[in-house]
Amino acid sequence: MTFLLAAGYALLALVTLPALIRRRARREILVFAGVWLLGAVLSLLLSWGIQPPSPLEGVRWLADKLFA
Amino acid sequence: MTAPLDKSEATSRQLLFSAAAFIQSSSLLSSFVMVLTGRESWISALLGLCISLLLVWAYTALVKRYPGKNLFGILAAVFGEPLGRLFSFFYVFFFLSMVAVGANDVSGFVVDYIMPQTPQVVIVLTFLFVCGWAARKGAGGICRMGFLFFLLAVAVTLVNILLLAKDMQLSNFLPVFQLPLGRYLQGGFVVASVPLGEVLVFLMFAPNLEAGGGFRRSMFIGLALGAATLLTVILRNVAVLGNLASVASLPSYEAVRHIKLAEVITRVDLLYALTMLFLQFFKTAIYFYAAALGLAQVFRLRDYKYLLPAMGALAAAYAFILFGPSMENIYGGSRVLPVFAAVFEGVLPLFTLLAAFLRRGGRMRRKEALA
Repeated sequence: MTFLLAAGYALLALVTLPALIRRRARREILVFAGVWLLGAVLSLLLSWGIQPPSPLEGVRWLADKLFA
Repeated sequence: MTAPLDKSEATSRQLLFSAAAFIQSSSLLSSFVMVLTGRESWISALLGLCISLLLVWAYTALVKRYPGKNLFGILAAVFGEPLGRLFSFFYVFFFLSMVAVGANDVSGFVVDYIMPQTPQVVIVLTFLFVCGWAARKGAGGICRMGFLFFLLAVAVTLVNILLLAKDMQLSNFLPVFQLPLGRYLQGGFVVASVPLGEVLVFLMFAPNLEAGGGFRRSMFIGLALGAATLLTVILRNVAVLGNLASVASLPSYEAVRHIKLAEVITRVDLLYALTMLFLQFFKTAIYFYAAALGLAQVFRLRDYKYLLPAMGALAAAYAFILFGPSMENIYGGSRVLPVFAAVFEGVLPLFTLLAAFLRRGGRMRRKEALA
């Protein structure tokens, strides 16, 4: 699974980055890399059975208080 | 903020039907409100419509005050660059969250009801790939599909109602006003937040409206058409299912499963499933476009399309983090998501509008002082 994920993300980068590098679009490369990295980290954690906390956990607490 | 990155155009009629179809996509998943108010959910729907009229007025007031700007441009104009960019980043997070919710809903439905042997991740990736492809077409390309999906939803809903007429019982609506007031208010809040208030995302389409197009008119009529479909679906579900509507995970699907005419016309639930998938695709594609365009605008990029693949992968992972299994999803849909959405659809836009009024008032006072 990890290998498949790594291959998938590598393919993503291979498809997108060459065009950006040719255009010397530095900002686009940086933003793409940031999003790509975040997605890769989350995907790897999930594939290893580690469940990252949901960003909505704080909202859940508020919702429980509001609608108790 | 930079000028809009998408130069495609949409007519006001396309925008109108897109807004209606956008709301209709949520009406087919009416469990989020039916779990709260059961057979009296029609009251919540009407209450939610009243609240959302105020919200849509606020959205259109912002567009009128800042013509040619989308939501992020308006935030920058009102709050200045640093704070406007921060709020814009929050909105990117909100739009991406809604993409993940859409992917989660669709994949959960497909795995639970249609293809149980298929890994959910395959459905999520396939779905997001198609949504990303649509997002590449821009606002004009997306809005061109609006009328088709609107027509599909209306046709399927009407056909279902005709075929279910013999199974409907008016006694299922009785008794009324049995629940505490707070439950109706919560139901109204949920309806205003989750299906109706989500038309906020069309603020990202405002610069792409053709010259002379009526954004306000399109939004209000779209809201009315979408809300009418939502109300019709809720009334149908209650008439057919009665109290069962509040415990079913997909009341619309369960209602449509009742259709059986002379043992010939059966399995019409597949038609419902297809319609739901098409509409969810439409809604998620709009959010996907808004998230990618927004992120490109925040970082002043020249094109948003390069971000779509990476954002799709991120949304796919995020879809498995947001909510858990389908029952957790219902809890999330009826409690957590409305509160989350209310911040971005209600609190921030109203605060922005107030700040815009105060800025204008302050500017006029300074002009008078100098004169």
